[in-house]
Amino acid sequence: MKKKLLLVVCVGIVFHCVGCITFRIIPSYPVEGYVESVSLCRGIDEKEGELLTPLDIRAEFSANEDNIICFVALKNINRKIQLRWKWYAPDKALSRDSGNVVINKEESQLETLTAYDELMLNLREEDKIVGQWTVVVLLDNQLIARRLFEVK
Amino acid sequence: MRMKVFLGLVSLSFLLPQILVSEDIAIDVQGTYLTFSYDYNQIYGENVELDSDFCHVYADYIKIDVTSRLFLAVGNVVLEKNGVLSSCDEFLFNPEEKDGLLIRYKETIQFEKLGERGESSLFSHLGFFENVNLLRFQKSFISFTGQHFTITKGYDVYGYDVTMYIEGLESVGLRKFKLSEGIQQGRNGFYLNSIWYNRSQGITTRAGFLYDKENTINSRTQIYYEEHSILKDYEGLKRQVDVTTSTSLNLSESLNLGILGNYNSSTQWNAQFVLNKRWGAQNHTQIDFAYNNPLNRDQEAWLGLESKLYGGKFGNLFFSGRYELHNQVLANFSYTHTPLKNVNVLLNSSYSQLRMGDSLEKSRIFTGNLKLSYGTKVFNLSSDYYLNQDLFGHQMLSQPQLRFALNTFQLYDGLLSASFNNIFIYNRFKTDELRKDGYSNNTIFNLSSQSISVRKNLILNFNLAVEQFFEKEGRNFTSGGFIFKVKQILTKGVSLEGFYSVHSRRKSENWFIEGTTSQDLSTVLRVNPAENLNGWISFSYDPKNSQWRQSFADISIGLLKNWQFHSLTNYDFLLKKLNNVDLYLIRDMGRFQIRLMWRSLSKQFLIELIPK
Repeated sequence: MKKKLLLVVCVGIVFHCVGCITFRIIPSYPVEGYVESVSLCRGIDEKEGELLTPLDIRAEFSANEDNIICFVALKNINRKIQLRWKWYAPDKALSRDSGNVVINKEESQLETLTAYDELMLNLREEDKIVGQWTVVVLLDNQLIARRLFEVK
Repeated sequence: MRMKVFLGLVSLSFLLPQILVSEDIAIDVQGTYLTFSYDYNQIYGENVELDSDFCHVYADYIKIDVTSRLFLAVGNVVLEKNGVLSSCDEFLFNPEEKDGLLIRYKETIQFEKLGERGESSLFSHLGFFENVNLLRFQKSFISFTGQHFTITKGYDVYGYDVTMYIEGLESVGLRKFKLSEGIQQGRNGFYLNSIWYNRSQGITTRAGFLYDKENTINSRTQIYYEEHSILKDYEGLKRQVDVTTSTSLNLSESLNLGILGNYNSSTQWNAQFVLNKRWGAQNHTQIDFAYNNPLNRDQEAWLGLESKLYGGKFGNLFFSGRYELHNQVLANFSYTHTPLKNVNVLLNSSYSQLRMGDSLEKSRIFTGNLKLSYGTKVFNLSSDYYLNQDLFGHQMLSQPQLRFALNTFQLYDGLLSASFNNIFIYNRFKTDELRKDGYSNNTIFNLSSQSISVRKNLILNFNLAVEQFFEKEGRNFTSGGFIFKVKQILTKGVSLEGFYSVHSRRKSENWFIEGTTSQDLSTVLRVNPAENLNGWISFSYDPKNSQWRQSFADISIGLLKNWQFHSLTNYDFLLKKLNNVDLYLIRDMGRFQIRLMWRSLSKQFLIELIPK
């Protein structure tokens, strides 16, 4: 019995020394303000005092839609940030630039932050809206997400 | 001696691929934060520097799908290739195919190709990483974090000073660990497929070794182990091992060698060598030698030859013959031909001469089949002649057949569809003393409707079938069945379905008619109000006898972190008891699934690891 115990201890020491197992490595953590979700939808559920919720999430839209929404949820925000949406039409040209929108001016500690931007489809020429669109989202002028969607 | 040969064969097929396995590092990834999801075989990184043969990349973020070899660098991307620096917003690349695509979001979207390929295949993968985000990694069942990962040429992922997370909880630290190896590995190396316990088999485990090198070698060895000694009152062997090995080696473009072996701890084993030669695109010839050591029987050595020849307009020919050293024979021959448009001819025959149990005598059976068929858009007509001759028992069965079928046709603009089939069979059975003739005819008619929307949220459909059978012996019958289905959508995600079926079978013999009629009335309530809740409950009722029969209930609820609860219940109204309750707790983990299962019928608790 003692021999077996000794063998187990020796094997454990060997594994530890060889480097297979260590009992504590200081883990690294992701930067704050990372993307939880970016989605395209037809509407937003805006209840007072609650986080925004996207309604009817999809990747294909009809050319008859009035508007298309790009919804963003970010995690772990504790400073003032700038969000920006750039919408590119099927001909790859920039169709809308929201410019930088300042959020969380109070620099609150937010576990989740939600925001959105709208593309007014009905204001655009009909022959230029059908095809594959691209929307990119920038956080403090750094690209954080890109989504493709189809207008038919 | 023979056992040594077998073990030698297994060792050879096992060791040969190991010798060939390479662990050369192809890609080095370093960042302030890197995480690897074992579930999805993907990497996410922040403030990353990536070094590979293809290029050197710096980026704010990186996403890697190891399985598909796709890499996406995002945000402030700077890359260096052949001493030339470029920058972009996104860089999608496949280092294996040396294919890259730089993307810049300016006044227009600008694409720039990088690499040696003429046409980049990456445009079709632009949306690949849209749902790959950090949260997906944090919700993985098994994940690792660290600051330094390497990827080998065989696309195995190693991590240095990594922390392992199980279900999001920090676990052990590992100095150097092969992150991509685990429960099962679809690529080269060892894998453990499953370990579970049940009361009938004890502990069972399945493991193996795989080595695959494209167009050169493919080797797979599997071990299945059952430990019975922990079971009370188990009468069989204390443990059982099954080993299966299969290696395929391409000696040239058209010549292939296969080595196959099976071993069972009950002393059964067999080994087989197969040499396959391809002639042109479709023809091949195969020679094989097999040695079998069956349980409680003499050992057998078989030599086989098989050939497939495609003769184009002259038809296709297949022949296979096997000879055993104790004078056992197996032979097959088949010929298919299309002499005229819509006319097909099929001829096949086989001969077997095999030992009967432990006796020295051998059975000798010859079978043959000739089929001539004619098919059009409206109908199919075919005639068959089947012959089975037992040369040892001196018996013969010959059976000509005539089949006629009308292809399914539509009525009322597709609202109804109908089909018709008729089969006539003539039998002649002959022995040395006896000769017996018989015939039968079977006619089937089927009529079904498409789903008809009667009013908003109410859908109906039905199916009707009639069958008439008659034969020389007079055991004639007529049967008919009708199924009526109705579905009412009550509200979003909730629907009620009703089924009524009646089936009647009437036996007619001269003037005498007898038979039975059965009816069934069932209803199902389906509930699917949200993505994580799905269930149904059904009741079955016999209107003829005014009796409730059975009820089934199924519910599936999505819990936290890809955990799911599922239950299936069955109640028998006739026996007035709960027949069975199955309870499942399922964790979906991308590459595999864990299922904790309780079965009331067998009183078993099972844990299953199921590779997907």
